[in-house]
Amino acid sequence: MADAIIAKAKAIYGKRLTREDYNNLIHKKDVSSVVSYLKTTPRYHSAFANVNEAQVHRGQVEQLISKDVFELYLKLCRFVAADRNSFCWYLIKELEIKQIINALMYIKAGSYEGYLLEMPSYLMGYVSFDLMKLAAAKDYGDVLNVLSDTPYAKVLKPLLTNSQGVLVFDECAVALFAWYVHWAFKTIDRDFKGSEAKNLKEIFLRQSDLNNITMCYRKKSLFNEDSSQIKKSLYSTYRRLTVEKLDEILSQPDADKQLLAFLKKTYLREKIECDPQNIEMAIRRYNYAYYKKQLAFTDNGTMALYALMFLCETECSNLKKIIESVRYGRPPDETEKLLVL
Amino acid sequence: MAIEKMALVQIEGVLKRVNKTLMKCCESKCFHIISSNRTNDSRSGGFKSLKSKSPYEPLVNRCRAIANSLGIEIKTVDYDDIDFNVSVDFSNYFELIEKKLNEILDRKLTLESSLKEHSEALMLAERLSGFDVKFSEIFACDFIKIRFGRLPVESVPKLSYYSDRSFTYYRFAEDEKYAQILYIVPKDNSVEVDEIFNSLFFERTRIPDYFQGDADEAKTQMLKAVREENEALDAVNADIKALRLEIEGTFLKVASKLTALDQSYELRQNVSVYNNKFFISGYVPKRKLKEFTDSVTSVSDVEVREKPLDSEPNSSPPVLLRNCWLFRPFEMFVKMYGLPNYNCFDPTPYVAVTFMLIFGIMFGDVGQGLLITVLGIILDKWRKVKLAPIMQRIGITSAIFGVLYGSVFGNEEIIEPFFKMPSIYKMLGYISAPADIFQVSTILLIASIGIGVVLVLISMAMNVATNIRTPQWLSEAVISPNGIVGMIFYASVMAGVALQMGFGIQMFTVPYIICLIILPLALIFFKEPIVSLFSKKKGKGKSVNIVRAVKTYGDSISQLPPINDVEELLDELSSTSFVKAQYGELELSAYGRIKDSVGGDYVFYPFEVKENTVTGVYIAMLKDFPIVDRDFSALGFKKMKMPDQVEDIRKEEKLRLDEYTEKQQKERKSVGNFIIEGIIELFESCLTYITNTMSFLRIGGFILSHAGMMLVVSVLAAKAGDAAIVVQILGNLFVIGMEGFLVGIQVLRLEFYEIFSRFYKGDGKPFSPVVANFSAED
Repeated sequence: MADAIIAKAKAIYGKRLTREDYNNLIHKKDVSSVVSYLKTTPRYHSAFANVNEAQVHRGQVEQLISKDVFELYLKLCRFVAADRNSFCWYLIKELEIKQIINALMYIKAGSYEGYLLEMPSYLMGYVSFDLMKLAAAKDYGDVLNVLSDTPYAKVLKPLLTNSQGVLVFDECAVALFAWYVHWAFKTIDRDFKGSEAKNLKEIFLRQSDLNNITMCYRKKSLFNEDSSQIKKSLYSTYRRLTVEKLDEILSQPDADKQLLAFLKKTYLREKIECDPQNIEMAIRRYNYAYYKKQLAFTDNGTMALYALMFLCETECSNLKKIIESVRYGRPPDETEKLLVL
Repeated sequence: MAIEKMALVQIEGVLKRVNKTLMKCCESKCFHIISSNRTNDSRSGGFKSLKSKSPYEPLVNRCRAIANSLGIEIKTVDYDDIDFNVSVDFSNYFELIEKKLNEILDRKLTLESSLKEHSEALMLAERLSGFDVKFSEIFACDFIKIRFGRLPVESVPKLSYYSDRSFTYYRFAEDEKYAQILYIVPKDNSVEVDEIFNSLFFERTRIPDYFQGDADEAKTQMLKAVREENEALDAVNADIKALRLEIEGTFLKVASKLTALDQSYELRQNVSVYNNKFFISGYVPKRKLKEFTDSVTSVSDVEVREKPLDSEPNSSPPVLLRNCWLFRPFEMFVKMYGLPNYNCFDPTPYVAVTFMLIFGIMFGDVGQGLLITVLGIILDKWRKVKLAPIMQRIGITSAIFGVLYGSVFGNEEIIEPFFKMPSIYKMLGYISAPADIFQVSTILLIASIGIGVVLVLISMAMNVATNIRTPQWLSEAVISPNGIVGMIFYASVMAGVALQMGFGIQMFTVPYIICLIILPLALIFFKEPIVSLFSKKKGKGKSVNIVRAVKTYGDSISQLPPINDVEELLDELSSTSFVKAQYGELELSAYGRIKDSVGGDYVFYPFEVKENTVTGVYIAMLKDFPIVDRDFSALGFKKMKMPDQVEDIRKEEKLRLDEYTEKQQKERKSVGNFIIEGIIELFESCLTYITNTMSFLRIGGFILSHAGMMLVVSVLAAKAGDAAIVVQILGNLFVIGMEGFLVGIQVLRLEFYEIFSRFYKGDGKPFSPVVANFSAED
C-alpha cells in the first residue's frame, strides 16, 4: 500500500505547475486569463472544466483551487492502509482548527457574514461540527455551543469564558496547536513504529520550532516585547530551539539577530537566502525544499501523503498570490518574488 | 552495402552570389551543411557569420495563413515553371487569393458568430426546460425581478443563512459543480439580494429578448435558427473548397519556391564571410560530388573544393546508409537503435539476414507466410507503412521454413515435414518417424541454442573487427568479454559442453580447462592492470586529476576570484576525460583582461599572487584547448610545470596538489576494491554469456507455440462441423495477428539485446541534406 501511495503521490506531483507555467501566469493581464491558462494545465484541467472564465470571481477561483487540493487529499487517503489511516485525518484536524480561528476572528471584528462567505462548504460532512452553525455564531458562547461535542470545546472553554470580550488569538492558536500535536503524537504512537514514527513526529516538532522562531523574531524586532509575554505565544513542543536555548537567546540584547543567526545555522544552512524583513518567506522556501526531498526519498506512504499535501498547498498559495497580483496589477517581477518555488 | 562515403566540400564565391548558391544547395538535396569553425571563433582573422533576417518571412506567414484557411497541406512539389523571383511577385499572387478568400471568410465569421450566440441560447433554453411561464410575461413584471443563472454547489447551503431576506429561489437543475437557480425578489430589494448572490459567486444568465413563449417554444425557435445557420455555413465551406480546388496546384508550387527561398536565408547563419567572399562547408555523398559540383558551379564566380575529411576538427562526417533493395527496409531497425559511426561498418545486412532467418524459423508456415507477404505488399502500396517491406521479406522466409516444417495454414498433411523424412529422423536418432513436431522438441531447443551460440560468436567477431584498429584495441578487441579472450572462453565452454553431452567426448581435461577457460577468465579479471601496463600514455588522466584537485582545494588556494568559476562547468569538465590543464603565470594587469580576451569554455584558477604576477591554472576541453591556449599566450601567460604543493590563503599549511591525485590513484589501486569490482564484473560477464545464450531458446519455444496454437485451431475447427472453414480462417488470422506480432517483437529483442549489445554503438550523426522545410515555426 505504501508503494501505491508513494507512486500515486509522485505521479500527482509530476503534474505540478512548472516554472514556465508560473512565468506565463504572472504575466497574465486579468483573472479570466489566469483561469483560461489553468484550464490548459494537466493539474487543474478538471478543476476548472465547466467554469466560465468570463464571469468567474476571484474568490471563487481561490475556493476552487483549495477544493481541488482537498479532493486530492480525499482521493489519496483511500490508498492508505486501514490499520494506519487514523493519522491521515491530520488535514481535517488542521482545517477544523483553521475554521474555528477564522470564525473567532470574524466575530471579534463584528463581521458576522465574513466567515460565511469564506467558509469552505466542501468541508461539510468531513468536519466534526456544523459549519453552518459556526457561521451563524454571533459570540464566543455560540462558538462553544457549536463545538460542544468536540475536543476543541474543552481546549477553548477556559480561554473564551475568561476572555471578558478580549480575545487573544495567539493563546487560542497555541492551545489548539498543542491539542493537535497531542492528538497527532498519540495517533502516531499507536499506528507507527521506529523511524517511521520518529519522522512523522519530527514534522510537528519542526513546524513548532519554525513557528516559535518566527514568532519570537517578529515580537522582538517589531514590538520588542519581553520574554514572558513572548513565551505566551509559543508552541510548547521543541526540536532544536529548546527552552534553555530560547531563554539564552531572549536574554541577549540583540536577541532578534541571534534568532536569525540560529535559524540560518540550524535550518536554512546558507542554502536558502533569508531577508530579515520577511523571514516567513525563507521558512516557506525551506519547508518546500524539505518536503520535496521527503517526497522524493521517503518509503513511508503517510509521509509521502503529508509531503505531497504540503507541496500542493504551497502551489495553491502561489496561485492565490498570482491571482491577487494579477487582480491588483502588481508587476510580474514583484509577484515572482512572492512565489515559493 | 555500407555507409555512404562522404566528401567534405568547401564552397567559395563572391558574396552577392550567396543566395543563389544556397538555393542550389537546397535543390541538390544531397548537401549536409555544417557550421564553419571559422564562425565559431569571432577573432580569427576577420571571418564573420552571415546573418540577416529573411525578407520572405512575412510572405511565408501569409502563405501559411492562406493554406490554413483553405485546408491545404503544404508539401514540396516541383516549381520549375514558377518564375516568381522577387517578393512583389509573391505578394501580388497572394493578394489575388486573399481578396477572394477574405470575402468568403467574412461571411463565415458572421455566420459562426451568429451560430455561437444561438447555440448558447439553445443550451440556455434546454437548461430552462420545464419552465412553463412565458418569457414575455417575465419581462413585463413591474414589481418583481426574476434572475436566472448558476450558483456553485458549495454556495447553495449558504443560502439558508439568508432565510430572513425577501427573496425566494428555485433550483431547477444541478450538476457536479453548479446548480441552475432562478430567484425572485421584490424590485425594491433587488440591489441588496443581488449583492448577496454576487458574494456567493452567482453567475447570471441574461435571457435573450428574442425568446418567445415559454422555454419549450424558445428551444424550438433556437433549434430552427441553428439549423438554418448550419446550412448556410455548409454552403460557405463549399465555396472555400471550390476555391481550394481552383488554386491548389499553382499555390503549392508557389509555396514550395517561396519556402525554398526563405530556407536559403535561414542557412545563411552557417555561412562565413571574409573580404566580400563567402565560405560554406558541408558534406556531399562521394558518388554525387560531380553532379553537385556541376550544379553549384553553374552559378558564376562560385567554386567548390574538396577537402580532407579530417580538416574540420569540430565535425565528424554524417552517416547515410546505403543498402541493396533486399536489406534496405531493415535500416529502420538500425536507425531505431542509433546510426553507426562513420568509421564503423553498417550492420544492416547482418540485421536483415538474421531477422529474416530467425523470424522464418520461429513462424514457419507456407500459407501464413505468403499471407503476410501479400499484406505487406498491400500496406506498402496503399498506406506506405514503413514496416510493410519488412513484412514482405519475412513472409517469404516464413513460407520457406513452412515448407521445411510441412505446415500450410497449420495443416501438416499437404507437405511432408522434414522430421518425417526417413533420412532426417534416422540421423536425429529416431527409429520411426515422429508423429508431430512436439516429439522433436528437445532437438529443436538444442538447435535454437546452437543458432544463438553462432550468432553470439559472430557478434563478438564483429566487435573484434570493429575495435582492433582503434586506440582501445587491447581493452575492447582483445581482453574483453566481447573480444578475442571472451570468444575463446565462450567458444571453448560451448564446444566442450556440446561435444561432451552430445557425443560423449571427454572435453574438460585439465589442460583444456586451464588454457581455454581459466586463463581467459583470468585475463578478463586482470584486464585493468594489463591494459594500464601496455598503455603508453600514462599521464593522460593527469589533467582530469588536476581538475579534481582544483575542485577540492579551490576555495583554500584562490586569492583572487576565479575566471568563469561556474560550478557546472567545472563539473562538466571533471566528468570527461577530454580535458587539459596548464599551469603558469601571467601579469596581474593581464589577469583582469582574461575574460574579455579568452574565448571558449574554460576555467582559470588563480593560485597565488606575487607582487605583479598571478600564478594559476587554466582548464579547458581538449577541443577548445588550442584556442584557449593561444589566447592565454597572447596575454603573456608563461607556461610552468605544475608544482607539487601550494600555500593556502591563511598561510597556515601547504596543500599538496598531487596528494589528491595520489589518493585517488591509491583508491583505484586498492586491492580490496580491485578484487570486489573484478569479481562482480567477471560474474556479470559470465551471467551475460549464460542469459544471452539461453535467450535464444525462445526460437525453439515459438516454433512449438506456433504448432500448439495451430493444433488448437484444428481441434476447434474439427468440432465446429459446417463452420469449420470459418473457424480455420478466424483462427489463422488470430495466430498471424497475435503470434506474428509477438515473434516480430521477440526477434527484434534478440537483435537489440543479444546481438547489438556485443559490438554495436549507435553514435553516428544522421545525414541531413538542406531542404526547404514547411513546418511552421513556433
